[in-house]
Amino acid sequence: MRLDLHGVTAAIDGAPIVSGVELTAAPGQFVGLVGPNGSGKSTLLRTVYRTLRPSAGVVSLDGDDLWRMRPRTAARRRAAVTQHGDPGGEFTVAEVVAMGRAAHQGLLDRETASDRSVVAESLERVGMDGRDDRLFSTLSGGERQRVLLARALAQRAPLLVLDEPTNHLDVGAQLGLLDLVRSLGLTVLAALHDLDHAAAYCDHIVVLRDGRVRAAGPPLEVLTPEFIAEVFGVRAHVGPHPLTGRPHIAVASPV
Amino acid sequence: MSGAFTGVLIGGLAVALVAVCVIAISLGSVTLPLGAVWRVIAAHLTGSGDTDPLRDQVVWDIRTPRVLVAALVGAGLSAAGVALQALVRNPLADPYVLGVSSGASLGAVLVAAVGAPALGGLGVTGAAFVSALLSVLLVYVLAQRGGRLLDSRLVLAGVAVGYLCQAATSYVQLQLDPSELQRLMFWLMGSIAGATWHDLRLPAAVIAACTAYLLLQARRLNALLAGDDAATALGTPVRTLRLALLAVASLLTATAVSVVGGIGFVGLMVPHAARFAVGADHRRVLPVATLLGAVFLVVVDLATRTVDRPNELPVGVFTTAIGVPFFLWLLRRRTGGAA
Repeated sequence: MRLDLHGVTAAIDGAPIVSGVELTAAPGQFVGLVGPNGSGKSTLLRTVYRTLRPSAGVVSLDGDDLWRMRPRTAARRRAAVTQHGDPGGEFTVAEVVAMGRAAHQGLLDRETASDRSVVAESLERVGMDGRDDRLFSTLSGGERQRVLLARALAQRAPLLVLDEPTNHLDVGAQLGLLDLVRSLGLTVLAALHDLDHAAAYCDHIVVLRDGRVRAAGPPLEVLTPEFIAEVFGVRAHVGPHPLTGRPHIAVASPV
Repeated sequence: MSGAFTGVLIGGLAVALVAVCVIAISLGSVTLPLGAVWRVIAAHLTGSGDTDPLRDQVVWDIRTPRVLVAALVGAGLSAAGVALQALVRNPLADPYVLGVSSGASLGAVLVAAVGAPALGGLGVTGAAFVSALLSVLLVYVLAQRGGRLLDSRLVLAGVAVGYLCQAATSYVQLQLDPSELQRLMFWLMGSIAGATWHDLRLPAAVIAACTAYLLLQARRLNALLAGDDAATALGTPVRTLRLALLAVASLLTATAVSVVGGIGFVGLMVPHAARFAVGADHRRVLPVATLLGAVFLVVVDLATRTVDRPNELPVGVFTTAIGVPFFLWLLRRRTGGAA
């Protein structure tokens, strides 16, 4: 699945938050969206969830306009793990993941054996199998995020959108989640806070500042110390990770 | 929560509903044997109307419509409560959170004050219905922004409009003469007495249709709880769904209130009792709450006309007397869980 944002402009209450964004995620690519707080990352992602209609520009999946699809059709092609996407109340793990099957069910359809097997499979892929009847509210932060990822996987969509998926997770859970997402083989668009994660996990980086794309390309080409200093206002060191050999970014406050 | 348990619970509630309806029809100022009740109902359902005319009148013309209205209103208010709690994402919301009940009361007292002819010939029921819908419309206008409903504003606007209508109702009540007020008080506090087949056909059909619609929205209500972004990503048409839920739940509540007056706490209490039994998933909560609400109101209505015979007590007083302690217990339990 190929995702294209072409000239996307989106406004909230008349004030433009993102303007003229060009972004492409090729099939199977892990694309990272980075930028300082308030740069418009979440707003841009909302044009892909379809909660905020772009005032100009097109969001397309394999060339089809996402905003012209029926809601359920869109949900069969694009899944998301949003911020604050957990359901309140006492849902079990299996019930949360089953919500992902709504895209494949009509109003009068009942849950079928195949729905249940997709739910079980999705839980297995995120390593949460066997915990179907646990209450979602009793899980740890890392486990909750895995269950929400399983819910997105249950949609069986080839494109996965993530909004700061590692927020509030401990370091082990952060890396575990990113490894997991990377291993899925889906097209991924993820807003990421941590530049080091972006450098280590993404194939392609798009940097947003003040609602505009400031740079795009492979992580090491885009995230130079000078560029990081300019956009984020911090000193940066870029080099191979001493343990993994993958690109590594260390940051420090400006002198 | 196992599906088998829910299946048994739903089956049990359906049986209980039929049982309490038949019992409620047999009890009253004249107590009839259950067998006689069955015979009259069966005769009407099969069209062979040869039963004792006196019994026929008591069972079919007086008690059956009343019991059916109690069941429908109980079911409808409970389903509307479930839907509105999901819509505003607040478990302490109830069908009256949008000012429907206060709006209906204002319409009812206005009819009494200025007379039906001044309001285009609307009776108490009609005026209550119209003013209930007008108050919801006002709440909607206040809570929307460019056609998008914001759940926090919906609750605040509902509370504000509710208070406004209450103040206006109190003012109009002061202008009424005591005998008029006495008659109206019973309606304001909720009463199912005096239900007849003739007046109830349309409201019953509206309540039944709205409840059926809400029962079909279970999966979408689950998604709605995850927030607008996540719900949309899951394939839910959030914007149209919110408007549809608001419209249907309001129509249902306005219809119920205009017929039976302000019966409080059913729409708050019953959904929580259902969640307590089957968890949060609306695919289970909705059918269980709907049946439980029907059983509950039939039983409460029976109590209002039997505990202090021959006097009748307002249903709203009963449901609130049970509801407030329940509400406080719920509140304590929730805080206890969060601490």
